Amino acid sequence: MNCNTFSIVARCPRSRMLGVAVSTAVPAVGAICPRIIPGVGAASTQAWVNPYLAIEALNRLQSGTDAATALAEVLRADDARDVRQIGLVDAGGRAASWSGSACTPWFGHLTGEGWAIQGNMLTGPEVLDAMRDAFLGAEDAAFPERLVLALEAAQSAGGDKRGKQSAAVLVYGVEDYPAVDLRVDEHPDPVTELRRVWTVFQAQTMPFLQGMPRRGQPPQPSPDEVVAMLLLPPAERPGGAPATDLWTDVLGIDVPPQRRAELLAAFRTIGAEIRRLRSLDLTDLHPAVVFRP
Amino acid sequence: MNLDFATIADLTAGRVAAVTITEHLLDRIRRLDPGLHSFICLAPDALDQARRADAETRAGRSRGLLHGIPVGIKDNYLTANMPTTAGTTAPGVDFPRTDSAAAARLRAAGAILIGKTRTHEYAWGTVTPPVRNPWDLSRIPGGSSGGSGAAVAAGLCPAAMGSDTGGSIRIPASLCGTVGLKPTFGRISRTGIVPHSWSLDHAGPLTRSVADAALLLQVLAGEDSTDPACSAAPVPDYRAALNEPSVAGLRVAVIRNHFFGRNHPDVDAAVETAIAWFGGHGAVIRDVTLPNLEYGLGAIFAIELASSAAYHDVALRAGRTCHFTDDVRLLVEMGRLVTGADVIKAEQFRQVLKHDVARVFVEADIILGPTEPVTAPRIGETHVAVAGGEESALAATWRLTYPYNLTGLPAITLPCGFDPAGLPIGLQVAAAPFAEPILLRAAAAYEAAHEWKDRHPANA
Repeated sequence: MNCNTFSIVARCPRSRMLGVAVSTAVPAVGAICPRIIPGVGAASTQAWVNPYLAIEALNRLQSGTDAATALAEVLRADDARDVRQIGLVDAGGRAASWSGSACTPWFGHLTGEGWAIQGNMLTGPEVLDAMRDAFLGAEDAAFPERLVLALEAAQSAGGDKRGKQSAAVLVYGVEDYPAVDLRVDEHPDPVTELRRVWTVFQAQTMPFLQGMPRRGQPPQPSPDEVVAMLLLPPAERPGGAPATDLWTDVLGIDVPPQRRAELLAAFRTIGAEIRRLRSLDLTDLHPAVVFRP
Repeated sequence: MNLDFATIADLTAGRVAAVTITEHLLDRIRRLDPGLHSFICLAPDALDQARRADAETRAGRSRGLLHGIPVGIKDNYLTANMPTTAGTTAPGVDFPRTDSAAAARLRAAGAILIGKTRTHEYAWGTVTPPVRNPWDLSRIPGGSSGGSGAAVAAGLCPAAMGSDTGGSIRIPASLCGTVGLKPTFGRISRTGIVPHSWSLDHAGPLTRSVADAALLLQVLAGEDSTDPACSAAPVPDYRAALNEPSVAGLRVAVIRNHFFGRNHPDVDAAVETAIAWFGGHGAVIRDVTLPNLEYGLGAIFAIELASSAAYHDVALRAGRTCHFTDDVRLLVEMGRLVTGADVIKAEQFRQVLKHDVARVFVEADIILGPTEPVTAPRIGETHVAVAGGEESALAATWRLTYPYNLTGLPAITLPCGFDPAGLPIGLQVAAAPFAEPILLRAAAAYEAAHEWKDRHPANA
């Protein structure tokens, strides 16, 4: 699988969280590229994806190897390293990245203290610069927020040359379950959708996660206000958007999902003709409307 | 006189009794229409109407220009003596049994409303199932007035009414080899015709001669306060325009973009020959281009889809559009996807096109071109061969007709040849608003100099 992608792998020096944020023009990037072992390291394996690069590299980190050495070792064993791209950060904040010389241009990577940013089939180097600036410029923000900001900056700077399809953010703290694991698997504007989901997640899921059992601690009951919130319909909870259905509420047509797809498909050529009409400037023309009071 | 393909002018001149022609046509319909399906119902009182007309004739009275002439009427015109379906079998649709304005005018002029001709459902489409083309039963008659085109071409009635929103009179007339006249927008009242798109809908006749089209226009044209778009412009004597069938000195414009370049070579050849005939008989031919026509399809789609969705809004909200045939249901439901701003912009764009054609008519009396880029497609054919490749059959069949719905110009189609398979080709003539006299004169002159209208289909 060729995941032409931009991603950031990072470790938060304050919270010691490990995280990956990634977007690409292939569906379900969140299930393919990011991998984290809590307390050990985080990786994103991309371009012509070899999942074992991330698995083996994290195994090496687990046995005490540093990021740069682990990365060099696993790449040495991969004959197709020229088409691989991988970013790695260890629990000590040491980062390493590799971009094989046969990745699709534009490709490249940047690394710094606690972070590695990499991408291929990009519109240009400005995508990675924008990610770095957004990530480093939001030092006071929560760690997952900084990762989402980096993705948004990349998308604004150009992103993937082919367009957009999926995005994900994965963050682990000290627990063996993730602190944040959000993925937009198939969407025309996945990074924007990821931002929306992240906003709802913060308002509705994070309070609940805070009460979840932790390793080595006795389980606590969820606070009453969290229980009460979760009993509400999603739209009535904090951060919940009132459910506006474009079809029924805006267009005024109530048809099942499959029919919607048929209508949109049939409308495609008509819509193209109407868009051509939209390109005209007709500001000063009174429309041809017959009206006789 | 051979009554099979007699024109109204023939019947009137020959003083053929109304009962004679009505019985003759009813017999032909009984024999031929099971293969054509052009009529959805026949008037139970057709012979009664004919007997009354003959009694009046014997008493020395004539009701008018169509006294004792059987006329078919498209099934989206309301009629008092026959039910109306608008081509739909959806449950819960019940149209009143009253005469549309056009039906009333036809009756007042003495016409016998002999039957209802089939329409594509709600006048939305160019196939008109189950009607077949009399020139080749494996082919569509065009639409949406497909029943009228097939019936007139097959000699089942000398004239039939059609309605035209994007070409629905001219398309079947061209594909069936008849004359089809869409007069200026507002020239004929649409009151009592099931609406499709209020600002694009036109009423008009399909006939076997230009003179008959003029005759029906004479009867049908005129003010009607119950149709908000109906014009109060005075009605000239259209028949007088036919007294001098000459094109000498006529200024002819040919729109070289949009109307040419993507037609079947057989169509181009026939139409170029027709244009050359005009040039050879004293007309001055001038090529023009209207670049803004490239925006026309978006404009008519926006207006037509949105208007249709508005007309069918109650059915749409009640979930009853699922009873429509698939193609029509899709078009009606897609109307909800067109935004209001796009519809208004489309209506603004019509002013652009209106100004463009007005400039053409400063130096021209008529515009000549093809009616259809192809001859009749086969039933079930989704794509047709045109110059430069294939085109969707639906897109092709209205490509050359809808510009005159957007502009509201009068336009007539008449046969100008046949392809090697023996299928008719239509010549489209358009003129300035309300310039039907010059339009009819030019068409009649061409018709008189050719024998196309004397050819009749084998299946008739």
